[in-house]
Amino acid sequence: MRFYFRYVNPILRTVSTALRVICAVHITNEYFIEITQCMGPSMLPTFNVVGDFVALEHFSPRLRRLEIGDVIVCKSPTNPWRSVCKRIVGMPGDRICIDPTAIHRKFITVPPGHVWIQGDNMSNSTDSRSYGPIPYALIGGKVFARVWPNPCWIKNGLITLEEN
Amino acid sequence: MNVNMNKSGSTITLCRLSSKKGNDNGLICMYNKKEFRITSVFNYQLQMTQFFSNTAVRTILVTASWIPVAIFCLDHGFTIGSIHGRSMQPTFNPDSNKLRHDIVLLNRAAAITHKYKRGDVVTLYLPDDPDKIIAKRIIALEGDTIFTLPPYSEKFLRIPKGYCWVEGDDTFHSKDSNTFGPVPLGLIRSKVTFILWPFSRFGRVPHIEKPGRVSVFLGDVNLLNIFDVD
Repeated sequence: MRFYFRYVNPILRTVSTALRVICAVHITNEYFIEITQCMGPSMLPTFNVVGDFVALEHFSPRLRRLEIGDVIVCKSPTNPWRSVCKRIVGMPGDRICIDPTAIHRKFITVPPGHVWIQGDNMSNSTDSRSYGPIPYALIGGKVFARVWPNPCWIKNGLITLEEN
Repeated sequence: MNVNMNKSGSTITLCRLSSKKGNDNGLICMYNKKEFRITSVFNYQLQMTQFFSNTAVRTILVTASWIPVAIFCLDHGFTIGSIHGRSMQPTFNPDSNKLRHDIVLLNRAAAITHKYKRGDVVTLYLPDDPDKIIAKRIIALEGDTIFTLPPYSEKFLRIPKGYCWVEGDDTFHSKDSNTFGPVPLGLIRSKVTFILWPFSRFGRVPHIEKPGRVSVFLGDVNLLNIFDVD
């Protein structure tokens, strides 16, 4: 009994506290706010190639509040292990030109429950132009800020052109 | 709790009033061996200490601190779910009574590794509607060639890397890959392993493969030359 209170009990207390703290952090990361690294050249003017740390929130995708122009992080449909960071270009029902520079332009209508995503660096990005519209359920979070380097808010990139 | 304080040579003893003295408000203060009662305590720290040493408050806080652990276990361990509809007949809901739903055990730990076998029953988000979750059987995995059924436009199809082909057991009353095409593996939430209710069919979910319609891909999946760059 003395052995228990002297050696075993403190270890059990530490382990249980660590378990609870780790789970709380994990749940925060999964349901509320998360900071991840965004690597690769596909979002070049917005994020660097070497890996910027971005903050993303999980409320907007769950509440179906995403709009055209939001930067999102989603599971890659071709590789469930990898997450990709792209910008939403089309919502369900929108008609999208796949490649505006082509001679014979192809148009596609985004099916219900899907979104069309594209990287900001259109010439070096694997996105919906190659694998088609992605299901909404693959979207993990919406990027709202860059944490490091140059901390700033990431705003919706959609610009409304004024009619003359 | 006893607090002994030395103040200008005299001893002040503060002790919390025990209930047998009949009054819970305030503190008994001993000053030069005489008893005083302090009814209003402005010591914030002492009040907080009293608050957190309260048994009910401690119980609530300790219970609340275990909630994230419970959510974690439900998210990445095992959950139960009920199955509606007739698309998985005869595996689930074999009689078409709409009031009876099978209750099944969902193994969400299996979805962490994204490794599935042909014939597994899985739950996944409906690609057309993120609010709906469907239970289907995996027929073919990435790289396989599948002979599709009528609503699909092509006669046979090579499943791209990272996708799989899911179908209901009752092919004629099922909205499955024959209507919406191959689905990304990332949409799969859990594996259905056990039927819990009704008791008459308690047991493992049967593992049914359809070797006649699938030609299995035996090569290295990573060499499928499909969009494997960022």
